[in-house]
Amino acid sequence: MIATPTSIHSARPEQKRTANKYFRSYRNSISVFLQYRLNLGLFAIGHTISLSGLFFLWLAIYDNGGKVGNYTFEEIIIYYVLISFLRMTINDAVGAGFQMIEDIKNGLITAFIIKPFNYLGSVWADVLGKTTVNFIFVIPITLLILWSSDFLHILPNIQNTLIFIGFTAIALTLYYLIYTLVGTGAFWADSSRNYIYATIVLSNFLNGSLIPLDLFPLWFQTASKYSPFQFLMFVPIQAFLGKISNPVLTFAGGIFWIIILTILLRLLYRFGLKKYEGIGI
Amino acid sequence: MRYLRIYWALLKTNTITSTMYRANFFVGTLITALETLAAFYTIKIIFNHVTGINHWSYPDMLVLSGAFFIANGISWFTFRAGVDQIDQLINKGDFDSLLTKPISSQFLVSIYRLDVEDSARGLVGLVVLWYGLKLGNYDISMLQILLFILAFIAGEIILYSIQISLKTISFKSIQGWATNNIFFRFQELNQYPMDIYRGFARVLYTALIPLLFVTTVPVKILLGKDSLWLAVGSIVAAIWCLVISRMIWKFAVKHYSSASS
Repeated sequence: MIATPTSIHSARPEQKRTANKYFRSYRNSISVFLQYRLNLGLFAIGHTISLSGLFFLWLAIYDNGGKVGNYTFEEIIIYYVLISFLRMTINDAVGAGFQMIEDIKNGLITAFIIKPFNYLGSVWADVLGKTTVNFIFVIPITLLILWSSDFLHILPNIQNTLIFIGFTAIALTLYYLIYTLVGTGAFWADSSRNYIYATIVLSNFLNGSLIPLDLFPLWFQTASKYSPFQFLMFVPIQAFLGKISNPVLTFAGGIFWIIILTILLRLLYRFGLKKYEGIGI
Repeated sequence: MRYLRIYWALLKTNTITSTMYRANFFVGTLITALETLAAFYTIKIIFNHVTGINHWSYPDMLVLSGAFFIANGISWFTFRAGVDQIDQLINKGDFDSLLTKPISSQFLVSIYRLDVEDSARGLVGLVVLWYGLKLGNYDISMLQILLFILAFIAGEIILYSIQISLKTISFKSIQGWATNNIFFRFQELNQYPMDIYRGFARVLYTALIPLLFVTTVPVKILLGKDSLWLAVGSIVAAIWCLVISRMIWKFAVKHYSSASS
């Protein structure tokens, strides 16, 4: 069918309305999350406490003349500062997984089925809203920590900064995809909260947040290259430290996982909806 | 005795509730155990690259980690889950009914919920501790073991005091649940030997928030790395922390006003 001038013009307002409703959801998420400013502050205090422990631990290790892998003392401290930074900013997608389980069990997604508002899209808008607030609060705190510890000189150049931002965006998207994917388990199982906990444990081990992945045995490093978890923490931090030899290829790896997980999520969500019963709603 | 009977009754209730869905319970316990093993494996990785951390060898660190996991497990089995949820009790209005019971509200709130699954950490910790002691080939006397247990119990009391004091923020703000994160971070520090701290941090974690006495001091007593008189210091610190936390709790409850119940 050949598009007439009338149908072309009416398609654009429709797309604009679709984008508007998700943008509104994003803005609402920011407003709601800003109500919990105290919690953000308390979380920042918690992470600073954790960082103080790690700082002195690695100081003790390096003071004795030890060296761990290819990391200088400054690099290992920056590594864990960035772990805290990423945990405080992009980690809210984990909560989205738990929320999805509750929404499915309590029948709250029924409203999304009958309205022109995609549930997965609304979860994504919510995650983006929270992440926006997190970044606004956490970036100044992180810079303050780096400045007070005399580590500001280790900030990367423009190129590495942009690469770091790109990989952080991939990490955020993968966090959302992985945990909502696990959340779809609620369509079939009662104990799906345990799947999220299991994913958190696995992720913490495989994403480099406990210890940098390149300090693990060689066989483990090779195996972790084939998992999406490395893109959650380890790869963005390596980008910041300028340790990625081929950013384009690594970026392509991240995009590959985003595509695969998006397809899986949409498939599982569609199959799950077929099984879903919103009884009494 | 009355308090012990109440604790036992609540333990039975919580265990029945947790094991109602057996598959769920076993999966949850397994996940907790695996999480603990992952943390233990991290120590192994570090010691693949270094020989010691501030005069703490690999076996020493295993014993310390084992003690940390045991402390963690015991805290979940006693007070951690209950204190974690104080803010939810207050927000839902359920706290008022606990205040009217003919028993200490602090005690009741602390133990009304006991997490049986998370106590799996303690079991893994026991294995790691035993492995560390075997690897280190230590010469340990019965007195050291007894003083270790005494100092360990004192350490649990200190942990409890810190958590309940932090949690009283929930009486003033509905956003008190993030204090769980702060307590978690404080507890996490106990997996490192407190000797690593310097300057103000050393003063903070020794005198102001005596985390030194939670795992480092008990393990030093057990391994003979320091004077056995440290056990006295543990007891004094525990009593001091408990008194302070009790004062903070009473102050918070006195100024508590319920929204509804």
